Amino acid sequence: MPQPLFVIEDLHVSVEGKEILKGVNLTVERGQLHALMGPNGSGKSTLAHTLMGNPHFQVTQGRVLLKGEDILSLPPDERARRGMFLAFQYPVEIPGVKVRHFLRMAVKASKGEEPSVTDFRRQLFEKMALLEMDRSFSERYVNEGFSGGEKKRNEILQLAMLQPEMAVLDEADSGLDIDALRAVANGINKLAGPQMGMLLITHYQRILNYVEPHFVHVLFDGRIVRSGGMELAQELEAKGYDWIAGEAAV
Amino acid sequence: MKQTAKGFSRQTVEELSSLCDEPAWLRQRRLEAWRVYEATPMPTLQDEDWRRTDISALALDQLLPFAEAPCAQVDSIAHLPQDLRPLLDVGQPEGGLLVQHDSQVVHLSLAEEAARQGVIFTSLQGAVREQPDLVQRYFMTRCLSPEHGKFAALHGALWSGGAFVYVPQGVEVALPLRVCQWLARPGLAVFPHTLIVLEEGSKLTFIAEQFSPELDGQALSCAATEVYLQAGAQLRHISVQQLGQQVYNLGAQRHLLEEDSRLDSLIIGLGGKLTKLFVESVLEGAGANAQMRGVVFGGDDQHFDHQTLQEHIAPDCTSDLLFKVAVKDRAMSVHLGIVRVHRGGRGTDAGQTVRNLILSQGAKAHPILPLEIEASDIRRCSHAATVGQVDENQLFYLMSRGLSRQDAERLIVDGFFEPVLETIPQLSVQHRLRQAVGEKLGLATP
Repeated sequence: MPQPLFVIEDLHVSVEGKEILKGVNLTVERGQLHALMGPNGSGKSTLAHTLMGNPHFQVTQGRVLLKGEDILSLPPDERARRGMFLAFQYPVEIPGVKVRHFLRMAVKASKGEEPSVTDFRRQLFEKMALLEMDRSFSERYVNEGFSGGEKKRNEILQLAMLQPEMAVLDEADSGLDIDALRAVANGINKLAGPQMGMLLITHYQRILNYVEPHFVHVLFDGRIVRSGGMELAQELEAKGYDWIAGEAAV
Repeated sequence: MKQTAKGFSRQTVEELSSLCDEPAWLRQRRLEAWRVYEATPMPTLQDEDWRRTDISALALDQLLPFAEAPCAQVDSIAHLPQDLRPLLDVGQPEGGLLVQHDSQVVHLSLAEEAARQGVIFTSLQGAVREQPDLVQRYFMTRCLSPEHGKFAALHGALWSGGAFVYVPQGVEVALPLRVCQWLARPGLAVFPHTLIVLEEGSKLTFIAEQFSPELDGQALSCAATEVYLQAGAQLRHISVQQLGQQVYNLGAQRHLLEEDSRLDSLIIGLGGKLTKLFVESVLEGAGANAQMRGVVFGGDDQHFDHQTLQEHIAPDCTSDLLFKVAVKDRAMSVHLGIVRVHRGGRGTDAGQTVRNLILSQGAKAHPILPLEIEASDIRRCSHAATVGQVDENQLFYLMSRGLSRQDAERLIVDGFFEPVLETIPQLSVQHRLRQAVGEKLGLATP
């Protein structure tokens, strides 16, 4: 059997001494899109940040394997270079650094070689067109003064430019109006491919009207309590998270 | 080679005056400044203005107060010394260029168009001969007098080199005038003086740059800049300091703003061993506007002390100060920023912000921002200082895109300065500064 792309094994994570993730297990193969749903406080963002290596979160147990290699001891930049990507729920402002310049450095860092100026420009404008972004956007400072929709689009632009093997999208849909949501979802659909694994983390079901996952998981109180297909998301939408809470308590 | 004896004395002042073949009134001014120098005690850590800046290691008596430039005055910059030429941006469009090597001006050029408009751009020594009335009226009188302080007095006694800029009424100078000062001799003290007068409604961009190679011995730069902005005049004034790390830099820059005039000043401090720089805007005409910005980046054991003053004398004036400071290694930055509003300063709108970025554990920053307000009906008077390290969230974000911690830090610091640097009108100067910032960051100790 070929090696799975991405495996989370019995992952336990604490923040300031409090256990948030209590044994998460999940496998993502190339070409698969997994949706991870859960109510506030279930540990969704903790999982996203832990997978990318945010030092604020302490792993107390478990493994995370990317192409068979445990990446938990690696700093975020090493993980990125091995093919990991995280779209942030709250993208960070980098004042004074232009999107164009930042992306160029990021492409150089993750690919290990400097892209030629013309290739880079062509690729950048191509991806921006794909995401219906104006070219002037690349001259703005990273996330500074961006609207919620612009920030999210900028995350997807980075995904498009870096072409990772395993992408985690943390609440890519939160705070978006319907047009921005559609643009972000379109971007995700166009970028998903047979080579990439995706984990789409979301509170609401509504982005799943535009992006169809192969698998849906429900995270509750630090554990995945249910897994299924689209019908699970629809059931959640109809019954609400209280339904899961009720079941989990039993 | 002509030079005076080491150390400073009344006799040195007289010798220098004779050497420069000066008129009696100027000799008298030097001697008067010397008198003030002698009557003023040497600043110590007990003085309010010098509380965090210790100059006791500066051996004034070992310094040479004047040395003739090692090359003669040349018309073409192609004839200037090799190591100086890369700094002169050959081929860049420029309104005028004055180059000073050690104590003397060695090159001077002014674009034909500016000359036709009646702009005067010459060495101050040349102006003493050619424009004695103007120099007598403006030189260290109402703007920056020797009484300003110990080193302003020393400067008044021993100045040499420097530039004189005069822009007639209503003239807009299209391209920047630039002064480049090169201090290449260890053991030397230089005292360049820049005097700028903008008549009513005139407009100018002025760039002053100080450089030196790494020297094997102490040196002193004691520069002074005086600026008169008459009614409605507009000046963009950019000062770049990239002196070597053995150089003490004790300077003063003072702007007098008449009504509805506007100043955009930018101070860039990258070099030197120890800097104490006074940057002062005096708003003495109604509706004047002073925008004062600064970029300071200290590394190794560098010490920077910027003392800024926004002095509101007339009503309805605006002043805004923004200094961005980064320090690494064991560097220290002090910023004493004073906003002073006189009784007549009603309708004053004044703000000051000093942002400090600490890049190493041993580096320090002390912003001190007092407000002295006598007027009762002002519009706004605000001050804010921050001292902080590189934001961990920013680092994580950048590292999650594959950037190493060092590259991420570098990008954040670049971005901290970039919004200020990109406003510099001369691209070659921008480029040089980005490079200098990059070089400093490259040497960062982990």
